[in-house]
Amino acid sequence: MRRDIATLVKKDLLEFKSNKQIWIPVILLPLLVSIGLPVTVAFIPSALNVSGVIPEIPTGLLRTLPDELRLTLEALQKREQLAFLFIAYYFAPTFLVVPLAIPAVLCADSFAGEKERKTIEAILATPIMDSELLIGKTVLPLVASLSSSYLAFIIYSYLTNLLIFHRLIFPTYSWILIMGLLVPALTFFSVGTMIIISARSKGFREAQQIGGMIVLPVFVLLVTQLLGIMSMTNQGLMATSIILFVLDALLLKYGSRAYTRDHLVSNT
Amino acid sequence: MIETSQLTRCFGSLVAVDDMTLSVDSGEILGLLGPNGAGKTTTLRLLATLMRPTSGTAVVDGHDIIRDAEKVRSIVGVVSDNQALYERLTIYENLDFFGKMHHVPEKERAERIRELLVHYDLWELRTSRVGTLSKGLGQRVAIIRALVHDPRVLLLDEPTANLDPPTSLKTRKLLDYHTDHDGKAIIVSTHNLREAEKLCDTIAVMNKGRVVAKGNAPELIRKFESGQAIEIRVKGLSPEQMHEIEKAMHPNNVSFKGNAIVISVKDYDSRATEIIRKILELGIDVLETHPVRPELEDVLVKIIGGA
Repeated sequence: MRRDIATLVKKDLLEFKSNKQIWIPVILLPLLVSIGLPVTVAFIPSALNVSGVIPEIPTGLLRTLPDELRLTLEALQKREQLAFLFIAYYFAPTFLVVPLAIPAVLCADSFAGEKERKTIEAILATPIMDSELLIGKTVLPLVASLSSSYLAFIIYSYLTNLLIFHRLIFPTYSWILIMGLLVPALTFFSVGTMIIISARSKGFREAQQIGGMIVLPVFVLLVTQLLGIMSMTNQGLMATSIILFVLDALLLKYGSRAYTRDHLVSNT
Repeated sequence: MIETSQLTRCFGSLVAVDDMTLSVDSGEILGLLGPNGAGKTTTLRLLATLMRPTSGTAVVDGHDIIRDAEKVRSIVGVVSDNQALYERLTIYENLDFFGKMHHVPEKERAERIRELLVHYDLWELRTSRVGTLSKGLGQRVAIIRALVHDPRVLLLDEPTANLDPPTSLKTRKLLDYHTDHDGKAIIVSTHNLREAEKLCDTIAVMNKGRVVAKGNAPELIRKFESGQAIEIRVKGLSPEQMHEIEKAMHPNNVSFKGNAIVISVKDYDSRATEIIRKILELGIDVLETHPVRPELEDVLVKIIGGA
C-alpha cells in the first residue's frame, strides 16, 4: 500500500517540477508574504522620510483590539507599536492565504488536471485502491503547503526580528496558535474542498477558478479586522481551528466518496 | 479466460451495456465492432474494473470483477481510447511509473521496458517528453504501457488508431504472438473492419448495448450476406446496351459504375462464366472481370441497420 502511494507521490513531484505554471506560484506566494510584508514595514517609513515622526495607534482602534495584543503593545516602545500591530495582527490573514492557495493550485492540477488529461484512467487501471489513490494524490499538496507555510513563517519571523525590532520579539502566542492549529486546519480544509471541486469539475482551469474563491473568507477577515468589526482573539483562533478540523473530517469523508473509480470514469 | 454473465451497466435511464453474456478463451482475440455509443468502451471499462456493473458480473482469469477487482486489475493491460500518458514526463518515466504501479520488480521492469521500446523502435527516444511526440508515437507508448506488466488479458480500445500501416502491422503481429505464445486473451474494440478481419478470431457486433451477432468474419459474412457480385469493366456502353443488359439479367441485379457493370449473383462460381458470355454476345468489349465478395462492412451495415 505504502509503495503505491510513494510511487504516486514521486510521479506527482516529477510532474510538478516540470510544470512552471504550478511551481512558480507555489514558490512565489510564500516568498512574497514572508519577505514582502516585513520588508515593507521595515523600510516604508524611512523611504517616505517620516522616520522622525512617531505615528501612534488611535485610542479608538486600540479599544477594538484583543486584550492580549493590547497588553503586548503597551509594553512596547511607542515607535514599535504600529509596526507590531501590522506584523502581529493585521498581516495574519494575509499569511493565511498561503495554506489555502497552495493546495488549491496543486490539487486542481493533481485531481482535476489528471481527469482532464484522462491520465487518471490509466492510473485507475492499475491495482491501486481508491483510498490509496486519494491519499497518494493529497500527500504532495499537503506537504508542499505545510512546508511552504512553515518556511514562510520562519523567514517572516526572522526578518521581523532582524529588520524591524532588532531583537527577538516575534512570534507571539497568537502566531504559535495560528501556525500550530489554524494553518494545518486551513490546509486540510483547502485540500478537502478541492477534492470535491475537482471531482465535479471538467478540468484544471475550472477547478482552479472555483477553488480560487477559497481565499475569499481570508480577505473578509482582513477587512473586518481593519474596520474593527471583528478581532482575532486567542480563544477565537482556537475555536475556529476546532470547527475547521471538524469540517475537514467531513470534507475528506465526502471527498473520498466523490473520488471513486466509478465516479471518476463515469464523469470523464 | 473472460466470461461475462448478463453484464449490464446503466447511466441513468441509458442502458450502455445490456445483458451481455460472452466468453473469450485463452489465446483468443475477440473484436468488438459497432457504431459509436454501442457500448464497446463501457464493456472494456467494466472488464477493467474501472466501473461497476449495474447488474450481472464477469470473471477474468478466475477473478470476479466485483469481488476481486484489485486482482483483476493486476492481470489486465488496458489501452484506452485516449492515450492517457503524462505529457510532461519522458517515455521512460511514463513506462517506469506504470510498471511500478503494477508492482513489476525493478530489474524485470527495466528489461521489459527496454525490450518493448526496442520492438517499437522507441528506445532512442526514451528520454523524450511524451508531449513532444506525434500521435502515432504516443499510441505506441500507450500500447507498451499496457504490456509493461506482462498481463494475462489485454483490453484494447482502438489500439491502432493513429498508427501508420507498418506500426499497425507490427502491433497486430505482436498481439498474435502474445495470443499464440503466452495464451493471452485479448478484446479489441475497433472501427477498423479490415483490422478486425485480419486480427480477430471472433467478432462480436454490438448495437445499443447488446451483442447482436457473434462469430468469425467468414461466418458472419456467410450468415448475413448471401449474395456476391461480378464486376465487368468494358470499353464503352451505349444506353441501348445498358438496357439490353438489364433485360437479360433482371434490372434489380444490375448497376453501372462508369464503364463497369456490377451484377449481383447468388453463386458466383457457377454463374460467372454464363454472365460474361451473355455480355460478349451483346457485342460489348470486355476489358476485365473480377468477383466482388461481400465484406465485413456490408455485414455490419446490414446487422446494425436491421437491429
